[in-house]
Amino acid sequence: MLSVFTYTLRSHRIGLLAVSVGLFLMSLIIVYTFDAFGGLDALADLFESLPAPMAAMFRAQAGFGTTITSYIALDYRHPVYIIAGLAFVLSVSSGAASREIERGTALMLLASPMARWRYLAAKTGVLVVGAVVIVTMSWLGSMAGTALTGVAGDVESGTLMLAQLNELGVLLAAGGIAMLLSAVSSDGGRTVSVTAGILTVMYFLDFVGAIWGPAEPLAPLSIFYYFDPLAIATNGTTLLRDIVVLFGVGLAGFVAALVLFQRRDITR
Amino acid sequence: MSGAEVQALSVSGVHKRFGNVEALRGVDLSVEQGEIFGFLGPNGAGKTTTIRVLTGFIRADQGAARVLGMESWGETVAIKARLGFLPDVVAFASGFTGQDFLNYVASLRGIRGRLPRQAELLERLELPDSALRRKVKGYSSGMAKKLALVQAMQHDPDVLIMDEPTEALDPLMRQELFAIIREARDRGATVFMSSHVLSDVEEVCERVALIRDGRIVGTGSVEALREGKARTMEVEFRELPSGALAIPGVEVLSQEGTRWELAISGDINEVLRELAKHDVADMTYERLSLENLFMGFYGEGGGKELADA
Repeated sequence: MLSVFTYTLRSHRIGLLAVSVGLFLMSLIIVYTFDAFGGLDALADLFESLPAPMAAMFRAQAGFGTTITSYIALDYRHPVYIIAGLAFVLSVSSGAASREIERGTALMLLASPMARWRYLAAKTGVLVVGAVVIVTMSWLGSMAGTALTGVAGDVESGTLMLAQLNELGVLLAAGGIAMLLSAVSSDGGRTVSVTAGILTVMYFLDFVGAIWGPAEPLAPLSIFYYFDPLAIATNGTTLLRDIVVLFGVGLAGFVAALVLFQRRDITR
Repeated sequence: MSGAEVQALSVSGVHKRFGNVEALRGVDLSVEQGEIFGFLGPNGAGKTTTIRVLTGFIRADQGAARVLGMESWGETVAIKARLGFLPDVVAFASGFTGQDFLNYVASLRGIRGRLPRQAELLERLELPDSALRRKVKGYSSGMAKKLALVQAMQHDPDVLIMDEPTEALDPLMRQELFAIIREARDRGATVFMSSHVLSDVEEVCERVALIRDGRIVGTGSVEALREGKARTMEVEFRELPSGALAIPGVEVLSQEGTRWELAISGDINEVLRELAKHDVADMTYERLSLENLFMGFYGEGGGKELADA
């Protein structure tokens, strides 16, 4: 099992490095360019003037907190953070089962005396470790930015860590869905496209639910509904509900993936 | 139950359906320990599905498949500890060198470093260190097949199941592989190999089973299967025989000028003696092809089955 974990981690190291270094730099630059936006007052004015849909994208409908911590946390909902993290998650999960079956590379490996669920569990481990690395690097980027700009004393690092824990929950929930689809499919491309489709629908459910009353009841069906770093920065704590739902979806997806992968036919 | 009593492989009444396609329709076969057994059939006959049922990759809808007395689906981990497997599709994840791949597969069996048997197999199958240091994505199909064969055999399995092992190998490598297979058998291993090339199976296997449309249509030695089935001979005469060729068990299939095509189901010596009486310019004799063998079983009569030979 350790061999599978090590090999899988090694095969995804470049992607993981690219995403985590990219998000580290993005986090750093966001803090570093803070003054270029004119400081907190100017940013607050900017968000006041934003159309509701734009504010909803950042979950800033209720206004923008006037702290640097809020400013940084707000950016954690930037689509680049979400897309980059999900790209890694999708890459690992589709490669974990369906792509290997599609290409025929799984057969010789699964002919070893190891239960299939253990094989997939090792790959799931890489997904979890990778997601932790990504959010940690994002947080470290923010910390490096605050240190470089001399505002470290004004930033609540623990709060930002909670915001990244919330992001980790999103990545794991998406990973659980993707891993489940990968475990039952023999087509890596289909796994990626179906998962991306589900996540896109979820993203817009959350978005539309935030700006259009009739769609509001549907928003809780989206994992992004439970991702609100600005609220964490404002309240200084994370909602237990969000953590339970996101980590619960991830765990349920991973467990279902292991069970179904163990029981399925490998036909290609 | 002692080891000697347990069959190496047994498949009993196995059915498998994929959607509307009934891939296996009650497959029965058994292989004794220490036997080299060939599994023959045309593409789509059910060879790979049967193999995947045996190796626990596919769960049978009905019936039972066992390897060394263990249930293929339920005890697959214990089986795989004693199994070497070569799949029909040889593909490697990108990024591996040949040596990395062998080490990785060995590590999945809890083995670290190079196995002594690995070095011997690499030498005999002519995969030098320089090839092993290269990325597998640059391998030719023949090299990829050799690497896959090494991974299947490097841990000296008790049962070796190989799906089309000779495909992509040149004639010299086929001979070397057959020698390796025989040596494995001599050490007590059981070898089960599928092929659609009758000559390969005939050369190395002691018994064979024929599968067609998801059913076993014959089991026995290749010679027993061939018995009574016609082979073809083309004869080019310099001068046409004055009369008809009156040889028992020979039928003239076609006659174009001086070139005759004969179907021979009797003793070949009778044919040669008769031909020696004539001025023959050229002659080709084809051993029975798998296709013709199947035609013999199914052909016009359809559904004819061979008793266990």
